[in-house]
Amino acid sequence: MSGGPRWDRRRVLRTGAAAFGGAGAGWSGSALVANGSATAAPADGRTPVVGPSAGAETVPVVGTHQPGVDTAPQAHLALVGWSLRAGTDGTGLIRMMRLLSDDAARLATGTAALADTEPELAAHPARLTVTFGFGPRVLRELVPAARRPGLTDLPPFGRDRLDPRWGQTDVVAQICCDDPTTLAHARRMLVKDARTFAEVRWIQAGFRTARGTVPDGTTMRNLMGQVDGTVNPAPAEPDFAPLVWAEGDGGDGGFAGGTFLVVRRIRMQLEKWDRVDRVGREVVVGRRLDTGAPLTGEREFDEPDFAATDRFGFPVIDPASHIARARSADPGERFLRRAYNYTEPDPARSSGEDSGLVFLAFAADPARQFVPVQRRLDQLDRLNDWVVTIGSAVYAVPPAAPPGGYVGQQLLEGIESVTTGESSPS
Amino acid sequence: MRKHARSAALVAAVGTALVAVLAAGWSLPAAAHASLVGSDPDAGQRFERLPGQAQLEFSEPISAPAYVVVTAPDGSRADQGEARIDGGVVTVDLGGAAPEGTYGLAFRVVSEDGHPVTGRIAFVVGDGPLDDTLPSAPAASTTPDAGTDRTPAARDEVDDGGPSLGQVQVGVAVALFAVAGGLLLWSRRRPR
Repeated sequence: MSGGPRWDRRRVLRTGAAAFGGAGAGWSGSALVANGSATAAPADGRTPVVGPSAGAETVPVVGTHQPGVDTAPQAHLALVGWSLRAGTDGTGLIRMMRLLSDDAARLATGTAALADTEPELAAHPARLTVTFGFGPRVLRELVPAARRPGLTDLPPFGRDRLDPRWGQTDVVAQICCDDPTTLAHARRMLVKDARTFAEVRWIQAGFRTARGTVPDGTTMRNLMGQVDGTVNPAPAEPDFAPLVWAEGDGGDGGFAGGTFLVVRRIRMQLEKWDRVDRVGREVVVGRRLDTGAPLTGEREFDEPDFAATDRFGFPVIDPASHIARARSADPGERFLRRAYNYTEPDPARSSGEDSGLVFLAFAADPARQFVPVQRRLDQLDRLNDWVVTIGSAVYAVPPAAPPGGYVGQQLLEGIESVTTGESSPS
Repeated sequence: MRKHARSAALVAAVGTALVAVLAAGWSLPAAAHASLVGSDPDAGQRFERLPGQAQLEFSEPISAPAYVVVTAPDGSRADQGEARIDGGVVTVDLGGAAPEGTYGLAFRVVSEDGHPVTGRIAFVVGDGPLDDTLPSAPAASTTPDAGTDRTPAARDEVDDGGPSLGQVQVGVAVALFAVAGGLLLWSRRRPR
């Protein structure tokens, strides 16, 4: 009995303490650290490239549409809103769009822009696309009525808390790219070349899951953790074209192949959302958090059964839930969503951040397709307790640049300028 | 050696208990969500004739809309119009043919912290027996019919769905650390 039992006792207890302490630390950490499926890195530290490098991928302009609409959403967004300077008239806008269209076309193919100060940063296009749009004032003042697309401001919504800082601008560029460095360079080149004609009102940065993190085509998750965008027309579906591409409204057909863009900056009140448990979160939306399946289904793309009831006769999917309110019996009340998450540091808030969704929707006719849905959500949607729209704008997105021309030419100079090749000199 | 064995047994017991707690997971006792604190009619209450309205009082404010369904003994609906909300009080008008017998009042509300609360109350109009044949367990808040049936009773337990994920995680971490600390302290004590 040379103190053995005591030693053993201590050892046992300390081992136990260490085990439980470790378990506690592990448990705490597991909430923060994702359990990465570690692929063993090669000894030399280089990442082996399997298949084509994502950086080399490009999005070609096909047909009459600008890229960046039916393009599978890239990982990163820079949405740039410009106001035209007081001295910028129609000719000025033509010169600006000529410059920016040329930049966009070059950068999208991995070619440096003209007078590019950092040409190396253009070398990896990573599916870069730039999509331009004109705000209502540009259409009103610089596009003759005969070829003006029918774009009106959105009606006021009672729950919006619009901050003029994120308001309507004259011109927009939706710059999307799978690589943030390439994106930053493209944004800088465009802003630089537009500077003479317009000043930047806002830049809305956004992101989705990085390319390669989840299989291509996976529905995005927003920062509330919800699978967001399950019900979205796909380019391969017959409904897609009539829902997204405008026909030649506005007289001479110069807008055919164009579309309209609705921008809504939706702030999420995540600190408040933190207090909602999983059951509550799923009721609010009407979908499961893990799979994104409707509460009446098992898989993400199962059709929600709004008629299903529980034993008391209450609908399984709350009629006030987000998916129940967003749903319309009218198949025309659908549009293409192409949203991005945003998060900005904000030391003024206790959370230290301002996070939400840069909601981008493309529609052939927003007044017919988007407004009725938004009206319903504005009237009633359980999700409204945790989200608030702080920015709103609409744009006409012209068709692709004609061969040798620039984006917007059909609107600014008429379709004759395209067919005859007689564009006004820049 | 007896002490050694006792210590080991204790560690094993505590470990087993913790595993049980972990396995229990979401069914840990709930923290504060809205719960039904009172109702008029009360569960099992008897009336000569159907009251003009029913009122449910919850411990927290309720967010719109709230759903209340009152079923008469003949299966017809006795609730009329939409339920009104005033803070934590939900009111619904009653009416209709109002036959005698047992009425079932089912409710589904969402508290302002987003938590759904479902439950059921039975009351009687006339001299007949309380005949509450519906299973009294509340329907699960999100999945259809996931609740287990229990013995019928006049008043349902309100389904509060358990604590939030964060509460569970923090609770488990705290428990693990507490056990670790306790064992460490105990290891320093001299055995008697």
